[in-house]
Amino acid sequence: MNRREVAIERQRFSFWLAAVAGMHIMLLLSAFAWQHFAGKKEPIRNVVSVSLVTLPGSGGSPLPAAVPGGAPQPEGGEPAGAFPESEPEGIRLEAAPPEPEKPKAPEMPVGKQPAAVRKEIPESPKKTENLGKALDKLRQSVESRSAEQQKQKSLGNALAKLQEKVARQGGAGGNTNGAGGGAGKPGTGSGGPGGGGGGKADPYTVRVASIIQQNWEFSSKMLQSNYGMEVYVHIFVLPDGTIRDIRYDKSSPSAYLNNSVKRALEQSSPLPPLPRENGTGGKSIGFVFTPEGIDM
Amino acid sequence: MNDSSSGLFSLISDSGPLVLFVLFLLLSFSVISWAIIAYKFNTVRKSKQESDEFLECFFEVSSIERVFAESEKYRNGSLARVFRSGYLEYRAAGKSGETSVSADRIRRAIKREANAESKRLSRLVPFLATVGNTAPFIGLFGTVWGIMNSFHTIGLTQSASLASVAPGISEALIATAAGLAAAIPAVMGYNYFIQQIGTIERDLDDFSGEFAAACMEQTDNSRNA
Repeated sequence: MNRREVAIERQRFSFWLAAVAGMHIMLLLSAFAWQHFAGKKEPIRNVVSVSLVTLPGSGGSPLPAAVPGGAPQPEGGEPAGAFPESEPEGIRLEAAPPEPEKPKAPEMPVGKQPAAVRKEIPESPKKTENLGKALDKLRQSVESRSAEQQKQKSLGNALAKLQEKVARQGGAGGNTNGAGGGAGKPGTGSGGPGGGGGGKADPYTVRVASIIQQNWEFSSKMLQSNYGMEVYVHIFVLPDGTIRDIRYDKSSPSAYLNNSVKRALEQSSPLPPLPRENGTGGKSIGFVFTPEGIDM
Repeated sequence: MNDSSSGLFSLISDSGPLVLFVLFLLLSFSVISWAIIAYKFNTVRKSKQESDEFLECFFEVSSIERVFAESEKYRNGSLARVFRSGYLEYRAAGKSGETSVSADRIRRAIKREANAESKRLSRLVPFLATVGNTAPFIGLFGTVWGIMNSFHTIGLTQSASLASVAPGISEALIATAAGLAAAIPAVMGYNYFIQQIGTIERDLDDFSGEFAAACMEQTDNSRNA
């Protein structure tokens, strides 16, 4: 290859270099123009802000629970769900009480007071006093923490459900184990009247369910289908409240639900100590976890 | 993407200086690679085409002088170039008169021209391999750097929402996309040219041997006559 040929080759390569550079510029300009015009035609989409750290939890209930039977839950427990818009379903009941008004915009925590849920629940006169104290405490807590009014609404809702269930089951028997309680707007809570209750509803079981519900971080939105989503669990509680054994009688097809149940049970241990009437041998309690809540 | 400002170019303009440098480097690689691809495609195609035509002419025409005259038409053909070089040496050897010395000189001239032709065809092609190998890593480097900055910003804002995480990662990923966009055609072009040049080199080897033997035979015949 002589010098002339080398010069010709260089010239050719320079030509292609310039041509390709021009093509790249054209390509970039056309991409810019396409974005400019396509962007104008595109409608404005709604922006959904999702936190990567805290996922919404509708199944897990942010309950700072006062429980039936007159024993209030210790205060200061933070709710598991982080978003106030996720309406907790509470504990599933066969005859659900009328739902309080839901806020229209789920993303904006509305500063409404929880709707009053008045119920005439049979209650033993002996425990009404304790229950009244618990409700007073609860009311004070609601009033003092205005920022957590939404959580208190969930509390009242769940508490009312619990009370109704206890009352309904208590009504079948003759013993007075039913628990009364008031739930609703702060300052207007009403204590349920005592009555002949059935022996089936165990206040301790209800209390445990409430604690587990509180620790259950679960969102039904994460499930594609609710079909067959049930986890049957038996736990054995030692007298000091420690959960010694967790037995899964039936798992759900969703690993997410199964794991959330497992975590909830692990976080709930230790539970409150068993009442003395249960003896010293411990107690076995069964629960059914569904996307709607915990059933006993 | 509500308007153009939230599109690709806003992502690029919002990127840090290092990511911009990486993008510029990759754009340069892409331009040079495509220029090499276009230039080499043209060169190799012409070389193969003219070599084939010259070969037909070489076997059709009986006189070597006529072939030499015809080879002027195929200046881009590799075989024609080798032939011309060998022929010029053959003519020079014919004048000198020493058979053994002239045979070596012809062989060496043919070999030298075949090597030069091989080098000419292979020139700039290794750059394609370099781009194909390094561009994804350069892009990845830009991405890693961008994500590092993005996480640093997340730490400063103390927010892990999609709104604060996604733009930084999106900006950073442009570098990887650019690296792949530069590397993929370069690798494809490199493989294509290596295969084409290999074919031409095999043709050159075959032709060189035959042409050298033919030259020797003709030299001997002319001396005997």
